[in-house]
Amino acid sequence: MRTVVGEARTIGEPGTKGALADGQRILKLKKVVRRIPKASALIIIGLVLCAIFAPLIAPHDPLAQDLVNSLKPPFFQKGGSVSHLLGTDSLGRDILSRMIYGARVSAIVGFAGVLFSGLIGTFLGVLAGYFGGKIDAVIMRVTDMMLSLPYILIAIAIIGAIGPSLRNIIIVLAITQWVGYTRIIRFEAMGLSKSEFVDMAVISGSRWWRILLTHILPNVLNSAVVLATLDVGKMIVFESALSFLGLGVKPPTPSWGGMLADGRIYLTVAWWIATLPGVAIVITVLGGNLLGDWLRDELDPRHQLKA
Amino acid sequence: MGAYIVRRLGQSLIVILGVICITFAISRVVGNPVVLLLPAEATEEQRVALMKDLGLDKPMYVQLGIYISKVARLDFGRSFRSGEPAMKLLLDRVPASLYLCFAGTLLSVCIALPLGIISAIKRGTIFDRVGMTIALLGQSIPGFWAGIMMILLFAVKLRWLPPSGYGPPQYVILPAVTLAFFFAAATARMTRSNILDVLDMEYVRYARLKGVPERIVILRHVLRNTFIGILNIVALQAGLLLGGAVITEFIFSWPGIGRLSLDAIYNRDYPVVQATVILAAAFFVVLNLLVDIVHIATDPRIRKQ
Amino acid sequence: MTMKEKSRNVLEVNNLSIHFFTDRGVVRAVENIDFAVRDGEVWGLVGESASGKSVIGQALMGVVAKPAGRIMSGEILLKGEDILLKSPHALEEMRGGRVAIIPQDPTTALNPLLTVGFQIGESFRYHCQGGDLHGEVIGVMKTVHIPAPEMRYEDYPHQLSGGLKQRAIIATALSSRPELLIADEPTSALDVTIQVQIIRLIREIQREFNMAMILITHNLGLVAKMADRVAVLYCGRIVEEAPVKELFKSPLHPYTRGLLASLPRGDKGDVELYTIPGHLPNPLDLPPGCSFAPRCAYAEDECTGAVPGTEWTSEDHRVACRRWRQL
Repeated sequence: MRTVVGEARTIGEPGTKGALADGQRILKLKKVVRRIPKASALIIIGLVLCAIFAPLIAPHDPLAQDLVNSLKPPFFQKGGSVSHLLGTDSLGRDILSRMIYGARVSAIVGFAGVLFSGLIGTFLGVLAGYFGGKIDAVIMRVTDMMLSLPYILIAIAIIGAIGPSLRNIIIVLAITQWVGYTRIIRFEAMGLSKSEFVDMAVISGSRWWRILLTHILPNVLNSAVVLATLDVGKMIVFESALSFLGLGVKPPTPSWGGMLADGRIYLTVAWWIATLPGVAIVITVLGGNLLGDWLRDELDPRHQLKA
Repeated sequence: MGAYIVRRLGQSLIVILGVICITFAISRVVGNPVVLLLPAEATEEQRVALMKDLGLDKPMYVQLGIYISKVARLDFGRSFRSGEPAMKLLLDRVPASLYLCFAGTLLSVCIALPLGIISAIKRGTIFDRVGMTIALLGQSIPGFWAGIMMILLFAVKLRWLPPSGYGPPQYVILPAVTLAFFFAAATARMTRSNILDVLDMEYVRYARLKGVPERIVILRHVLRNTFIGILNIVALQAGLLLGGAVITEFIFSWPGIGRLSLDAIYNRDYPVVQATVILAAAFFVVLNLLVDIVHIATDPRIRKQ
Repeated sequence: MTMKEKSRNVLEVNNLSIHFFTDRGVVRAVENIDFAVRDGEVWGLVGESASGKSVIGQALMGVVAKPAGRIMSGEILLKGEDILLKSPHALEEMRGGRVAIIPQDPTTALNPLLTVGFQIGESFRYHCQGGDLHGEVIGVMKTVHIPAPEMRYEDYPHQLSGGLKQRAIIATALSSRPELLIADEPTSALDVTIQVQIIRLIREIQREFNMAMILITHNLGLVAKMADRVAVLYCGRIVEEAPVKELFKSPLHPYTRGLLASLPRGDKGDVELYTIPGHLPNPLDLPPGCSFAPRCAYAEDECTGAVPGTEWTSEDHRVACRRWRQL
């Protein structure tokens, strides 16, 4: 099967004799790396680093209360100090440290949510696209059904039932967001299923799961990865929304959405509690979106025709 | 064409039915509502009696059947909290939500469509880049944070607008803008992408080659052919709209269905939650059905078969 | 060319070069093209894909693919006026009016949401003032032999067969009585049986209205049936030009010879088709000197030195090859 794919790709390319030599492959990789948008990649890396190394980076314990120093503004405003660079909240907890630990929640939800919803959605999309017929019809009905339900209400209903927690948020997001993948992956899988090398594989007697694994799946992976990258931001926003509504990560664990909820109450006296975590969300989501856009342009097959 | 409509109607009904089943399933997963209704000291007899009363002693599929037949008659049961019919509670709040959603949609469409259209037509120019950057920023800013920031700016610091509540027009401005935030950006981007696809079509190129003036090409060939695509986009965003309404109503204490459902969740008032979800789903399904019908009516390829 | 001949030229192209600036390099799509089309003649332009022929067709309509394309030099004289100097508004007036194009694929060229009659009339609407639009459209539909034109006027493109759609397109091109008609692969997208009908139709129309016509195609057979004179295009340059019969009888350029040799011939019962050895060069990296040299059996050192100039071998036959005399 592997040879079939390989041959299909080199047909019509004058001068090529099979796979590229390793040296050329490394050169191509270097070229690609050079083109990665630096800023957005840095943002996402920053997020991951904050998440992993939070205990080392954060200046204070995010849970440590210090009622004497409560509601202190950031250092650049009168009344602030460098010991609490971004100020403190109503219980005297350091905002900066809570934001760094909050990155943990966001990173986990972002990647795990995208991973699970992506897996489910891609899997179902491939099934629907390849088999067509009844399987396709059923999956599409379910997709339509899920799309017609406002995600928030489902999330609210489920979390209301099983209780708020990090794990439960990921479950809810996986359950509600897989539909975003299915439509698109199904469309691609349908196109791929009609292609020549799949026909050849069927003729040569391959089992259906083999075909799915070696021919269809690798080729839809491009789109899936693009969708996933673009979705990371969405997941983070949804998690913040749920935490904001009190249905997310349980306090006192810091999360950006939770901090926004806290800050809302003190909006008139302490603007920073609600503003700064929001800025963190915006920057992270922006990084994710830019990266996703870049990835989509890179992997667009039309790119190769720019000769 | 008639057959197609009938088929779509059938599909819509199946979807709504599925939604009803899902919400039913979720509500049963939650736990025994009897526990919530009765005080802790209630006796076993009282519990059993109440269960019988609510029909909770019958097998699941029977309960489901009863529930579906009730829903068909728009009977969503009674609120656990207030005892009032859930339907009535909902209907009381619907106007406020419609008002907000209408304002939000109008605002969003008025911003997003022109932005998307002009960005597409002037592809590659500075206008396109600026426009899409704005849209990208809009998509990256969570709507509820934007809402809070606007309250901070316009209500707290500047005192131009009220921070929350329902009333004369100035009360709807901030909530509508917040709501519009949720999907104006995405709509703009999708509109642009839609129009770019049409701009690349051969018939647009050929129209130019026939000597049709450029602005007529845009109006007659481009916009006409993207109309249904854009309608689809707006209808799709309606799903996000409903979700956004919940948060927006929460932030601004807007007396709509969204807040009602949130309160119902907090209070474990499941009949109300179920009613809200089913109604919201039905609304969305009907909206999509209408869009499909418009599509059929305007596309000669489907009409004349 | 004598002054008398010049005045009979509907179209004169001098030293036209069009380059495309992509982020992978410069593509010299069209390089130093000269040609002329006389009143009432069918001038064929033959080339493979990526030879630049479509780019030339577009340029004659005043269209250059943006943002990468740019006209580097040259003039396109339509009855003496250089269209490259015209304003965008003037070009709009010219397109579909004095110069009309028949595009390759009639299916995609028609807007599915508008009636056929309306689209045929679009050209007339913007070029001919006054007059009965509906009547004109019906008239021109009859000229291209569309049966029951009154009914067809109200039809939508998807209700027409491929052949009828192409007739509609031809009708559109005719409606404003253009001085120059450009047919860009007019039959490639059609079934073989329909191709014959369309070719006949185009020939009939061209003769009846005595229009100057440029036929752009890769199909030598089509050229043989329809054209008066033919030019052969390779990698953006004209390598040979001659009256049709002469080109087929005594081709001088090695590329032309190769093309003619690759035509399947029913008489000899050959089993193997001849193909020109090698392949098209990468447009980003054209070989030095004569672009055909790497594939040419007769190439010598002088061929890769500099681009061969055009030589007139007789009154109406020219070739761009250094060694044509020896071959």
